[in-house]
Amino acid sequence: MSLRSILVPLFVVLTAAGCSAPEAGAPAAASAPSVPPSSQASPLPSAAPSTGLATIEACDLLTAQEVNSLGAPPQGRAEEVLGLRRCDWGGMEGGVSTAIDEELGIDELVLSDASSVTEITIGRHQAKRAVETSGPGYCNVFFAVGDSANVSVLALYLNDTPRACAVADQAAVLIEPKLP
Amino acid sequence: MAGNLVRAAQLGGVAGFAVDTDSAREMIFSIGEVRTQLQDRLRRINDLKVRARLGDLPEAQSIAELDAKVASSDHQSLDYVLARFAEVLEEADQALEIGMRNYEQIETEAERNIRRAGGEIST
Repeated sequence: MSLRSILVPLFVVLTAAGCSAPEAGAPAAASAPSVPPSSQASPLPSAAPSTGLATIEACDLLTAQEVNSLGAPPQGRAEEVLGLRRCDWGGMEGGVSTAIDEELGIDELVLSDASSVTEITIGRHQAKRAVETSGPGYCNVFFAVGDSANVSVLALYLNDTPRACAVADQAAVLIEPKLP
Repeated sequence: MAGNLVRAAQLGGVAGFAVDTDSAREMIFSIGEVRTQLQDRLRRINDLKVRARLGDLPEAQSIAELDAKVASSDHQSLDYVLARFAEVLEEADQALEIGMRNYEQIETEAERNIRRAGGEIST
């Protein structure tokens, strides 16, 4: 049997079975013909209601001028971690951060370590103010955005809770009008 | 530990801990960068800690509770250790400032002694 008589049928079989090497970074192979998504897509059974937060970035919640008025460095650092969109403005003495969480309502947050949790209203939004959630110097304000999302601001000045809360309260007032 | 570095630097006075100005400034700059990053990490840990995702399944709850415990809640927790580290760095910063002042004082005194000695020789 010649080499050619073995390789040609093997090539035909492999090609028919779709055994081509996947392209790096390409999505998983889809054998179905492509059709416009609108004609085939069915609604997800448990699609979360839109909170209006999808188009907002955490760094947009405070302008450079506003951050400056809080006494923090104006350059924000954005990151996404475990589905949380965050922005940090801080120096070596402390600073503030904002976080957009589209998964949890404010009643689902774990605030049991806080020295105090107060329900407050800022502008149009219900909020919770949680003090010392991770020790002295931490002060958070969590805004409710619908039932299953929250936006928060955290000020951290280690061992200086009054300063942290003054900054967090001021930041919360600046952020609230920007929320849906 | 709090205050030990600063106290040591203060007690030493000009005869003790001294560091030249350029070196001290470089170290203070580096420590400042680490302190800034530490503060960022502490805020991140707090943001994640208060959002421990508790699913409906008991297993998910156990894991989330364990994660939250590791991240926080006692003196072996990550946020506690990092917070203490931040305090030590702040102290090191202050000690370097003192060491730098001690060095400048030594320099000034040495210069004064040389001038005085020069004056005695010339008279």
